[in-house]
Amino acid sequence: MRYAYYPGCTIETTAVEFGRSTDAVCEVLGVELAEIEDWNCCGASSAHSLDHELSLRLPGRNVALAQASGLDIVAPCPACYQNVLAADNRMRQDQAWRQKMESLLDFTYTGAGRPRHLLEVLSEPEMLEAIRSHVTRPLEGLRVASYYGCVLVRPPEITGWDDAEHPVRMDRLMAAIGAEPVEWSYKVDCCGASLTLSRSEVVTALSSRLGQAAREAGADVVAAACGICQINLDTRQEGEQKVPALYFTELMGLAFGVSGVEKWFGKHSVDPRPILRERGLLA
Amino acid sequence: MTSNDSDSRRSDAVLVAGAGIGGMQSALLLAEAGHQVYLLDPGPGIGGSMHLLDRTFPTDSCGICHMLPGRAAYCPTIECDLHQNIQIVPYAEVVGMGGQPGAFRVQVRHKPRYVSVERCNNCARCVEVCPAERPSPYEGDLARQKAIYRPPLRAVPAAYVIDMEACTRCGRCVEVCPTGAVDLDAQPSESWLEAGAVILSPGFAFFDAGLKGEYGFGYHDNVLTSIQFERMISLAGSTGAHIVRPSDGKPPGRIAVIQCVGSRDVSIDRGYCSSVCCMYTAKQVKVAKALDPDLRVDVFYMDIRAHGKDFDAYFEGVEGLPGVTYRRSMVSSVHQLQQSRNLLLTCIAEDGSLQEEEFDLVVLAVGLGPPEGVGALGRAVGVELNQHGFAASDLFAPVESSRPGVFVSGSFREPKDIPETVVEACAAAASAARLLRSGRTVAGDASAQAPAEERDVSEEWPRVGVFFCDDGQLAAEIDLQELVEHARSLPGVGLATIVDRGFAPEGLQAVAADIKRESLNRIVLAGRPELRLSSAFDQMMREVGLNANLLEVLNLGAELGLLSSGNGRVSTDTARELVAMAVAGAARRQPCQPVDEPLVQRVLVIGGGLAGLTAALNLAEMGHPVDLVEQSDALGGQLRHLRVVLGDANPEEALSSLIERVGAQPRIRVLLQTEVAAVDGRLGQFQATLAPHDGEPEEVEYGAVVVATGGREVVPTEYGYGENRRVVTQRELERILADGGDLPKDVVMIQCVESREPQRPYCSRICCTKAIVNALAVKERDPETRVTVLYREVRAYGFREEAYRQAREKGVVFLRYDVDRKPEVVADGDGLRVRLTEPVAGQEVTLEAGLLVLSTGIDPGDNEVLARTLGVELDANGFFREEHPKMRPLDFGQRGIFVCGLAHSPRAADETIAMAAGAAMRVVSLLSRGRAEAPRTVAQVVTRLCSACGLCVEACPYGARVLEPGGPHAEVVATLCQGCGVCVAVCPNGASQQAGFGLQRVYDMLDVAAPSRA
Repeated sequence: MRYAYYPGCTIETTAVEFGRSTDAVCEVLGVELAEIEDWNCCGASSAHSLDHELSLRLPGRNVALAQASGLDIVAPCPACYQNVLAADNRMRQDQAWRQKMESLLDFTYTGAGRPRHLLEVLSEPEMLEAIRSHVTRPLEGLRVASYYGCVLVRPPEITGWDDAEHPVRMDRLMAAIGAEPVEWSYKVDCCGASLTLSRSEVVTALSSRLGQAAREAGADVVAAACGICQINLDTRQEGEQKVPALYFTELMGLAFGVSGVEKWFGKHSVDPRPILRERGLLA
Repeated sequence: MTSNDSDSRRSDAVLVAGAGIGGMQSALLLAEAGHQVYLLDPGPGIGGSMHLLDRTFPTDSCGICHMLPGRAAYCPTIECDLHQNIQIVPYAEVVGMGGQPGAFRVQVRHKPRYVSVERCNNCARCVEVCPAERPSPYEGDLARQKAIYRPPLRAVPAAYVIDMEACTRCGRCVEVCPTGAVDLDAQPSESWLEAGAVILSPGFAFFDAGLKGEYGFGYHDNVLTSIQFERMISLAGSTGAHIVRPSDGKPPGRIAVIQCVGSRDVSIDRGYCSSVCCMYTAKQVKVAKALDPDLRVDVFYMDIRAHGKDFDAYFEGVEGLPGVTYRRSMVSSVHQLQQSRNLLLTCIAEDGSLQEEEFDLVVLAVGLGPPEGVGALGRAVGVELNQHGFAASDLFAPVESSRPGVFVSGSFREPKDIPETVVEACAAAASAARLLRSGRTVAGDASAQAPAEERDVSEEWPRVGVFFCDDGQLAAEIDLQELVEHARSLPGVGLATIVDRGFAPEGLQAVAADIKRESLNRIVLAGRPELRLSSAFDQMMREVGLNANLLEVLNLGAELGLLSSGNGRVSTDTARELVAMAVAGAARRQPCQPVDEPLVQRVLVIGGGLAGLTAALNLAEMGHPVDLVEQSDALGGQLRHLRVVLGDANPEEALSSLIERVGAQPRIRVLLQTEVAAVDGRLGQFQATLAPHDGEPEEVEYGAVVVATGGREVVPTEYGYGENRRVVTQRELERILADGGDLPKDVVMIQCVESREPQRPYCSRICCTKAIVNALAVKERDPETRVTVLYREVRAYGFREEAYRQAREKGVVFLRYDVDRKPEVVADGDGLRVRLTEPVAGQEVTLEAGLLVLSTGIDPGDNEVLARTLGVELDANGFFREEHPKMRPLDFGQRGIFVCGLAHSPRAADETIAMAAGAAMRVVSLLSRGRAEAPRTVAQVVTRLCSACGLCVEACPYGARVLEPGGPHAEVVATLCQGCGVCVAVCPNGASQQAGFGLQRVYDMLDVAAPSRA
C-alpha cells in the first residue's frame, strides 16, 4: 500500500515523535509513505484568518504536486489534512475555481488521489485486521481516552469518515492493539490550539479541563492524533495528577514491539513511562 | 378522456391520508355530512402522535378521551371506527394519483400486517411465545416490545401486528394462535380507490435528536428527548409516571430542559420555529413538578413563544413554580461525567458569559419536521412541498395545495399545535365538501331509515330469549352448557341456547329465526360483542319486528375479564350471576322511540370581516342559505387595513375577490347596518330578530349561528401616541409604506405596547410578525434606514422565524427590554429619543427616532351584548370563550353556535380563514342530516314529581334542560340530551328518569346480583 505523504511542518519539529512513530508503524504494516517532493506549508490556522483564497491556494499546490503520482495523499497533521481536503474539495466542486487554480499552478486537475488523514487510513477495517496480526505486546490493562481534537473529523460535509461529535475510529484502533478505550465525552473538545503562545491562559484552562475529564473517565493516558493537541496537553495541562498524552502511533509502536519507543516517550513533558511500567507494558 | 368519462366517475367520497388528530377530525366531519371517507394511515392503527401524549396544554386534560358533547363522546379513534361512512385503511400509503378534482383515482399500497384483523381476538398468546424484541416507538424507545405486538391501547383496528424487521420468522406465533390469524407470508398489495377530493394530513415527525451530536443524545445515558420524557411522566407510560434516570433508575434532583433542539437552527437546515415546544415543555415541567414537588428544573431557552389563546397565563404559572428557573441562553454542549453519569451543561448566558453546571437529567425539547416519506407522498399526489418538506400554501388559501382538489392541514402545512390542527382539519373538510357539492343543492341525508314496523309488546308478559354467542373461544373459558341450563331456570325465560359464531351475520340470522319461532319479546345476547356491531343488532331487531330497546347485550368477555383479575379463567358461577342480572334487566325493558326534529338549513353569520365572509361563502358553497349580518356600512372588517403581508399575497385583491364572490353567491343575503337583536331556540331551530339601523326588525329562523364579530387594533395611550405626529402604530406605518409616504432615516419600533401587562394580559400573536414584515418593507425601500425593534420576546412562530432571520440579516436590530423597565420616549426638537435600559448589563441605550412605531395588540370587539343575546360566555379578556380550547376550539357549550376569527382570539389572516371555513364545516356536519336524532337513552321528566328546583338545569353539561322562569316543571330538549344520566343523579325527587334505565329495572338487577340484601 502506497500513499503520497504530506508530513507537514510539525512532524520534524515539535511533533517529531509523531513523525518517527508514524514511520515505524507504517513500516511494520507495509504502508509505504512516499513524501511529496517540494511540499509547502498548508497555511495552517494563519492563512484562512487573513485571506480565504490564499488558504485554498497554498494547499492546492500540494494537491497538484501529489496528483502526478496518482496516489491518495496521507497527512498525519489534522490541520494539514483539513486544508488540503478543503482545497481539493473546492477544485472538485467548483469548476470556475478549478480553472483558476489550474492556470495558477500550471497543471490539469484530474481528481485522482484523495486527501486522507493517517488515522482514517490506519483505522479501515482491513487495516485493523493487519494491525491485530502485528501486535506482539497487547496493551492489556491500559485505559486510553481517544482524543480526536476539534479539527480532525470536521467539517463532516467534507470529512465524513467518522461521526463529527462522537467519533469512534481511534477507539477501535486502540482496541485492536489490546488497549481499553474508555468512554468519555470530550473526544472533540478544543485544546486551545494555536492560542498556546498568544493566550496561554486559555489553553491552560482548556487543556487542564481535558486532562481532568480524562482522569474522571478513568483513563491512564490520552491518545492524540494532532501535534498541537498533544503538545498542549503535554505542556499546558495543570493539576496534581497530569494525564500523559501520547500519539496513537506511539501506542501502536509500543504494541508492535518497535525498537526506540522509549526514545519517543523521553520527549514528553508528562512522562508516560511510570504508568506504562505500572501496567507492565514497559520494563 | 372525454368530459363524459370524467362525469361518470364523479365520486362523493373523500380520501384522507394521515389519521392523526387532524385526519380523524376531517374524516368525522365529512362522514357526518354524508360523504364516504377513506381514512388511510401508514401505521398499523389510527390516532397518530396523540398516542404519545399524556395531558395537553393549556387544560392539562387527557390527550384523546375528553368527554365532550358529540355523537359518541368517546374518543376520536373509536368514533371513526364506529362511523358507518368511514372506512379505516391502516398500513396504507398513497403511491399514485390520476384523474381530476371530483374524480380522482388513487393508487394505494397496503403493507402486510401478518395478522388478520378479522380473526385476531387479542388473546396475547403470540406475545408470550415471541422471542424477538425491539425498543417500542410508542414509548419513545424507553421500553421494549415484541416483534408481534398490539399498537397502543386506543389505536384502531385493535389487532396485533408483526414488525417484520424484528421478526425471526420462528413460527411460534403461528402455532399458538387459536384463530389461525397469523400469516408470516403475507405480501404487500395494491388497490385503487375512487375519491372526489383528497385531504393530506400526514402530520409530522419529531426531530432526530442524534443530529445535534453536541447534546449527546444516544451517547449519554441520562439525556432524553421530550418524547421520552412525555412517556415518563405519563401514567400510561412504561415507568408509570415515575421520573427516573435511565442510568441507575434513581429519581433525578435537577433536570435541565434544552429548548429549540432541531428548531430555529440553520446549521441543520431547520431554520423555522416548531411553534409547540415552548408550551409542551411548560406542560411537562408542570406535570413533573406535580409528580415530584422537590424537583429543580432549569429551562434553557431563546424566546418563550406562548402565542396561543391563554398560553401566556399558563406559562407564567409554570415559570412561577418554586424550583423552576427559565434561563435565556444558548446551550453549546452537554458532557457526561463517567462516574456519576451526571451531565455537565455548558451555555452562553444572555450577558455573554460562559456557564457550566451539573444536572442529573437533561431533556431535549425536540422540534417538528415533516413526516417520513413525505417527499414520496408529495410526488405521488403531485403536490409541491417547500424547501423543508412541508406543503407550502398561500396566506389567503391556507388549506389549498398546489394541486386542485387536494387539500392540506395540520403540521404538514406548518408546525402547529392541536387546536390549530383541529381547526385546519375542519377547514380542509370544508374545502373538500365545497368541491364535491359545487353546483348541487343539499337536501339532507337520504340514508335516514323509514320507521320500522314494530310489534306492540306492551301488553305481553316478558318472554326472554337468551342467546350465548360462541366465538370459538368462549366455550373454552366457561361452561356454556351449564349457563344455558341455568338461564332456562330463570323466571321469564322462553328460550336459552348456544349459537355458533353468534355475532356473525349467519349467527344473527339464526337468532332472528328463533325469536320469530318462539315469539320472544325480550332478547339477551351474551358473548364477546364489539361496539361496532350495534348497527347489526339494530338491523336484526328490525327484522323480527321488535323495538331495538328490547335487546340486552351482555359482554361476558369484558365482564369476566374485569372480574377475573387477569387469569382469564373465571368461575362459571360469576357468569351465572351476570346472566341472571341480564335476564332481570331485559324483562323490565320497554320500547323506546327516538325523538327527532327537523333542522332548519339557513345559517346566520354575524360579522362581515374576513371570518364572516369566509364562513358565509363556505356555507353557501356547501349548499346552505346564509344571512350575513354586518353592523357597519361595509364588508371587510380589519382586512381593509391590511396592506403589507409576509410572502407575495395581495391582501387588497384577496378582499375584493372575496366580497365579489359573496356578492355573486345567490344563497347569501348580505344585511349591512344591521344588528342581531335577539336569538332564541336551539340547534336546528334558532329564532333570531334582525334589526336594521333604519327599518323594521325582521324575524328569521336559522339552523345554526356563526359568530364572526372580529376585533380591533388597540388605540395606545402610551409613548406620546396622539400627541406627537412622529408616533404611529404599525397599521399607520403600513399605510405610509403602501402609499409611498416619506420615512425618516431612523425608525424605532416598540413591541407589546399595552399587551401582556395587567390591563391586557394576553399576547396578540400577530404583532411580532407585523413588525418584522414592516421592518423588512422599510429596509426594502431603503437599506440605509436604521430600524431598531425593542421587544420582550420575538414570537415569530413557524416559518415566520425565517422572516425574523432575514430582518436581522438585512440589518434590523432587535433589542430586548424588561416590562418593568419600559423604554422612555422624549421629544427632542423635531425628532424623538428613545431611552432603553438593556436588561442584562443594565446599560442605558439612547436611540434617535425619526419615527416611533408602536406594535399594539388586538382588542376584542364590544361582545358583551351579543354574548348575552346568544347565551354564550366571554373569557376574562372579552373574547368569546370556546367549548374546549383543545378539542373544540370552534364550538360553544350551546350547540349550534360557533365562533371564528378575531372574535375568538388574535390571529393571522390564514388562521382566521381556516377557522371560519372550519366553523362552516362544523355547521354543515350538524345540519346536513336534515333531522336531529336523540339517543334512545334520553332523559325524561315525570312532571308530577318535579318541584321545579332547577338542579338538573344547572347539572346538565349539554344545555338539554330547560326551566322557564315560573314554569311548572323542567323540560328535556331531547335532541340535545346525550343520555349521560347526570340529571337523574341530582334530582331529589326521582322526577328525572332515563329511558331504558327505569328504577325498577335497576332494582331488579341489583336484587339478582345481591339477593341477600334484597
